[in-house]
Amino acid sequence: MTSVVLLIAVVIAAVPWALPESASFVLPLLLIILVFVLTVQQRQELPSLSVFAGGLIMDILTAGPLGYWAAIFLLTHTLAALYRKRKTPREFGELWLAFAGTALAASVSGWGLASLYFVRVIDWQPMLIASATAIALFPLVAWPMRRTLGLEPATIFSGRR
Amino acid sequence: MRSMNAAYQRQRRKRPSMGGWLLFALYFASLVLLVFSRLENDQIREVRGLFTDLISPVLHAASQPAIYARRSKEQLGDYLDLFEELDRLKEENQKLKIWAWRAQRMERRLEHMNALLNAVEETALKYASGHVIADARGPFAKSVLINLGRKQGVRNGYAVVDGDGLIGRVVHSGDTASRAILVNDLNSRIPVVVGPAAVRAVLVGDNTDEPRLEFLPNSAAVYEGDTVSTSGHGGLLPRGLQIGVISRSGKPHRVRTHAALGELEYVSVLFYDSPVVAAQEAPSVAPKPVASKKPSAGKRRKAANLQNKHVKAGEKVQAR
Repeated sequence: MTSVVLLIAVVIAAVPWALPESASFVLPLLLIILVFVLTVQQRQELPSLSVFAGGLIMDILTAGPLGYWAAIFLLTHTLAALYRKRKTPREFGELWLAFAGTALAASVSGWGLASLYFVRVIDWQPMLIASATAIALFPLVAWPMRRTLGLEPATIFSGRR
Repeated sequence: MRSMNAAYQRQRRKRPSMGGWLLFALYFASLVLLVFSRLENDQIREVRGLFTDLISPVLHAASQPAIYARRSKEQLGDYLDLFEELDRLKEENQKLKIWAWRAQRMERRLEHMNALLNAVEETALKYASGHVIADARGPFAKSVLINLGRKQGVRNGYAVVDGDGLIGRVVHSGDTASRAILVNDLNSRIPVVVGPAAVRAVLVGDNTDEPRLEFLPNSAAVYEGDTVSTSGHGGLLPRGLQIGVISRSGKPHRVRTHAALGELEYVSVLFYDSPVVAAQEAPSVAPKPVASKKPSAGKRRKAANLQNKHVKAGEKVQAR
């Protein structure tokens, strides 16, 4: 089920939504919210193979080199899996913070990988805009899923119990 | 609630690890694919084309809500500016009437001149129209996927335009869908002419909003607002296709395209068969295979008689 959700999201992200040129990274990077949430959630595991396949399809649809989005999605999946293994998020804010770190790591890696591919330093601003947008939009995806994520209901920052 | 969390923790600990080896293999595969893509491996290109063809019906269906949403947004904007728009259209209509009159006069003059010079008329370009079903965003490419392919006669190298001008050219034509790189793509190089003096240059994409002009002569006088159109040099694109205007003069000169490259919806592919394209690819619509069976002696005789009849009929017509 998680794999199907990811596949549908990849197709939706490739559809022409008429975003401005400066937001060229936003749609692919929004998918990392989904990879993060589906990896951290408690009910069904997201297989690494599905994450890789989702990234590859994204690569094909965005006409980029094969393996680019696959590597970024895998990195997000790995970081989310490590987080899930080490810590149980009790509050939504804590999870949001963890995602912010993951999103920044993914965007910095994406920028580095693209710069390596072209053998020149590429513009970092679209990547920054995309990661900021992903962090800002995280609650839209994660808040309705807070029960599945194992969060206590109606807590954002309620302080330590 | 605490007991619920403890249950979750126990459940998580029971889960097997995320498969370290598999993950390592997938990372490795990603890097290998990246390297092969960098080396522009032909097989990777083929697989990509095949997959694009396979997924194009899904993308076509998925793009409908996006198109509907965009149209609704545009319509809402139109309703809000209805009276302002009406005034603007009236003014534009007046201007267009004057232009129509001028165009008719020019057409008559052109016909007269052609008749005097006995000039060969340029054949009108054929085209097919479709819509954008996916757009590629990211650091690597600025391209769109169009729902027109080889079945509709589209071939690699064909120019793609929208109502405002040239937007790019086809780089991969599948059976039912084609990918076109936009003029601002990193790999796009288009020979152009600039301004009223028709100064030759090359429009180079660099993945920014506005492509730049290169190979301009040092003494070239080009200014902001000068029009940029295809020169037709190299034979790949027809000449005279409008691209945009110079938005920033200086080094480098930047060109603002007439077409909104981020908001493409309906596009047309121009079937311009230059010698370059013809040499690159076989004809898009292959002739039907002829039956390999050898005809019998009787059939051969019949066919020869029929051919003779046709030749004689032709000779009669010529004699008349």
